[in-house]
Amino acid sequence: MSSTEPRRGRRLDFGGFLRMIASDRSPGPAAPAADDPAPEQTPKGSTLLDKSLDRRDAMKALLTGAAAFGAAATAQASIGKSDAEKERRQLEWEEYFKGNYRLMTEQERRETIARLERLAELKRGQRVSIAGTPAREGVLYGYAFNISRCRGYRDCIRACVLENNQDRASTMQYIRIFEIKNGHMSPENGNADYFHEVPQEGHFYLGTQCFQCENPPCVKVCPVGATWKEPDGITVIDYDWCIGCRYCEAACPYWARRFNWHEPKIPRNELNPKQHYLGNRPRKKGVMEKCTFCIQRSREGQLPACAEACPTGARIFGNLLDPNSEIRYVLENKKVFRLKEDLGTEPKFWYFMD
Amino acid sequence: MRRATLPLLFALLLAPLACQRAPESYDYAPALTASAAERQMTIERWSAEPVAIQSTTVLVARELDEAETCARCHDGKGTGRKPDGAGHDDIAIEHAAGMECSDCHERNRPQLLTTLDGNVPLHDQAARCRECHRNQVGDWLGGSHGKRLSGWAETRVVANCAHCHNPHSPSLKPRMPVATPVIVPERLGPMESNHVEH
Repeated sequence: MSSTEPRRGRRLDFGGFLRMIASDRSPGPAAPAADDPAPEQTPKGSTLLDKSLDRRDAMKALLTGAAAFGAAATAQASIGKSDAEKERRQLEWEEYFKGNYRLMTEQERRETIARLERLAELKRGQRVSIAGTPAREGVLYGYAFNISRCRGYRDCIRACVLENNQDRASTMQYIRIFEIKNGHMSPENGNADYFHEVPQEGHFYLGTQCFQCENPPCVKVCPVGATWKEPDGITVIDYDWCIGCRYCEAACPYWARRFNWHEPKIPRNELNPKQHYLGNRPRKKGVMEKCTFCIQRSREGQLPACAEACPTGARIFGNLLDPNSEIRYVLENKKVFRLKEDLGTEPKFWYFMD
Repeated sequence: MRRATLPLLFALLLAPLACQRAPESYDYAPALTASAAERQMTIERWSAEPVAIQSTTVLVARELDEAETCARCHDGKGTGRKPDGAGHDDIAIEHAAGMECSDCHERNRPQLLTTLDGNVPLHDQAARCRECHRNQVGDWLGGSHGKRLSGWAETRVVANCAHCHNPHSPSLKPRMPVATPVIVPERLGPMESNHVEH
């Protein structure tokens, strides 16, 4: 736990203060400090950090002053701007100082979600709903992929892109379907760029995506704690806390993570408005993203988009802790294997054959 | 004249924009989505199977009524032929080698399927399929074969055999893979990035 705890997760609550200065609205409710879910822990034996705590307080005071000036300047400069423009700047300013989603109180989570929904409306003119649905009790998600059923139709990839608001300009995709010659067992010998009638004689098809490892190397290397494993086993990313260093991309042995080199572009008529804070809300330039087992769907009891779209039934998704689930039937009755098991990453994504 | 055409042109140009509407949510398998009326068969008749199955499982099979099957062509006056005279000769059986109609259909009442335990209606097809494809039907009941139509946390609803397999030609046919949604930057349509120019 301690290795994945965000170390610099100190919340700077400028929201209420700024609202008082920058606009004539009444101050918002102050964030309660009492129910802070994870009070900051100073790593023991680090005198440097002890010192910097004082410095940080000093910085905070300084920054608060700067914020007041900034807000005043923004208000000054925005004379003549439309109300919507002013509101957008105000919201973006408040968003800039929010904390790590993991350390936010319920109240702060609600506030940032409300801001993001409003910002989406102001920027794109489209109403979206962003959920913050937490993990269900007693649920650990698992996935099984039938390599003797998959026929390489790629319906899963299409559904994934539509569902998760992936960047269309760079053709970002979480799923890759490898066409592999019979007799070979590694995707390294496969071709993920095929475009011909499928299935091809003498080939089988193997899909990869994020395997939601139980022991995820990507989480260990994140220097800011912007990615972590949720209680239901899904590894998620706080897109607003990610600094884009791409360590996780390098650490993942399965090439599951994607980086946004550009501002993602989504056609107006294809934006999926049903979103989750840790899932498919549109990302921004310079942050990582990856498959989340469609957290916005799976936490509502639905199948991930890829499993729902699969026309051959090769994709099995369910709760590993439920002995009656389909995934448990597969694990108990079929020969299963995982990729790179020797690394000890414990992926929750099994391959099997009939 | 010119005054009239300009607004018209504008209207024509804007028309596709007005039609661009964001979806409420996506349905990725519309052809396979089961309607409430289709969730008819329960698991009871399978309870003696060797596979342990969830008592909540619902096997989807649309109950075909007379109007959809025989009465679609046969008017009940004993013509015995479809109006175009084709009969059932247009059905090519590409199942196991040497199979013929009466291997599955009751000879004089083809709306029924024959099984060792007696005749069953068409929508109860798995009872017939199982007599040869026992492993597949076992996996289907258990959960590793076939298509789940409900969410993982909901009552298990699975498609019946003929949902995916045409009984007369059961193998799925090769086709081109689906094209993924891509934007070619040179041919940008009405598109928005999340970014706003200041």
